Amino acid sequence: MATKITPRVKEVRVYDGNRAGAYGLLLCKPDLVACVPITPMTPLVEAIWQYVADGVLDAELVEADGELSGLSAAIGASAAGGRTFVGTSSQGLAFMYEAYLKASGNRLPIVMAIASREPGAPDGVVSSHQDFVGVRDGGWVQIVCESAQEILDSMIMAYRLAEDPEILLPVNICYDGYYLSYSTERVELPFAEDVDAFLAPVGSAHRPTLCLENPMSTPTLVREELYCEFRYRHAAAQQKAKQKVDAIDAEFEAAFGRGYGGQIEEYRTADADIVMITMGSQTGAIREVVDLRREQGEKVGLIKLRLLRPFPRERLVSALRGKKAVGIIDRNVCFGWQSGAVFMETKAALQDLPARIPVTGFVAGIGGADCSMEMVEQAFNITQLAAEGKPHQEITWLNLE
Amino acid sequence: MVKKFISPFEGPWAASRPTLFAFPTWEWRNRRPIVNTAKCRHCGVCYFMCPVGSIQDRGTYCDSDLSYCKGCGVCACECPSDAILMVREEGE
Repeated sequence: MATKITPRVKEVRVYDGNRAGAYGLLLCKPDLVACVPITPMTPLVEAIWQYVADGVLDAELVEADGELSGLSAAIGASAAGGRTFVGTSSQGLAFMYEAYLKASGNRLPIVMAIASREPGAPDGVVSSHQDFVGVRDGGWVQIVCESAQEILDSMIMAYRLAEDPEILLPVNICYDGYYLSYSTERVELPFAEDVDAFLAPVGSAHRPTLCLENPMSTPTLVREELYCEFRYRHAAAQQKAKQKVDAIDAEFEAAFGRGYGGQIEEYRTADADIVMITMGSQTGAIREVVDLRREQGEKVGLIKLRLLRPFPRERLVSALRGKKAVGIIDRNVCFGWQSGAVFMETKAALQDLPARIPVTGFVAGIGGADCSMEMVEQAFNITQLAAEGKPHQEITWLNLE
Repeated sequence: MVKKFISPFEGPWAASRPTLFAFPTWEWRNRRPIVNTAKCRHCGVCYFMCPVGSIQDRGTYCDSDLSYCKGCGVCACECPSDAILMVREEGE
């Protein structure tokens, strides 16, 4: 059990998402950081390198020749027992895909920041969730952030989750490139000793590591029964991570005074008839529209999905029980479905409810476009039609259709 | 309900002692390493280089556990004392 931490703030600074993430990482004291600069994540790397140059962080820095070797270096260091970090975006994530699968399959608690960006083609150095959504079946835990403060705090919670002996999974901290990576916000910085105390339970936790005294091998060559067993245990750990995320979030809130609801954040959903679901930076615009509509007496609410993997199925189902309609605003495309990934997965989860709830899907913010309040209003109007049982279009690409 | 797990580890890890807990790859072998124990200086280079971790410490020299050795020949190639000779597997 962690020592009791009393919520306090060391100082308040104006940081962008990258800088907030770098500060969060600094507090976690990584042993090895392996990064290749890639827009929009580059300032995060620069900040970490500066910390080491200034002598405030004692970490091995790997200036990898490519993302694949960067993550591979982190895999080696993590297998040797180190706390490791990798940051990337878009094409960089695509390039490290092979090592991405190795990291999770070997159950190595690596934390990776993804400042999300459209993976080309079409080329365009622009924001969307397409990169991390595309690797959601890679076996990592994926946490999606909404603000710079949440990036910093999630970084700390990510190591607590990843290194938990019951979990041992790598974690993605995903945040919208540009909208979050470059937007400056008010950020409360925690005390280093408080973060040390928060991470203390996993700092001493035992996990298999490569060392000379007790030689081990990883990944071992296995097939059939043993292969299936390791896959099963990997999948089971993902399921365990859901409750762990809730527990860690609650403990974080008690220690630092800021909580994010764990797997999902519910906003004015308790008595709502219509609920909009989304993740990432566009949550703010939707929250504004919910407030405006609430002022007009409409019973609307919002769910921010914080966990994409594992998918917070049980929490979603319990939050959506009895609702009249659910809308999903995706900043990604799930090819073959014409919709976004969260639309498809929420529809699957809602099968658990006895009553059928109409679900409308919306694709917005592709190619770095703004998800404006007008677009959210349109989404609510269509979802309202669905709630009333009137004819409507199931999936709409906002601003295009 | 799952049957009893085979591995003591959560992921594809294996302890190298007493013997490596892994899939026996000896069937793949068409050459086997023969260690000249007089030439072996017990330096352990083969131990680190073996991709399947089949090299065993025999006290004064290193030798391959033939249940796991798949006959790749990395040990023979890397041995600084030229103590390992790869010979063809023939019949039993």
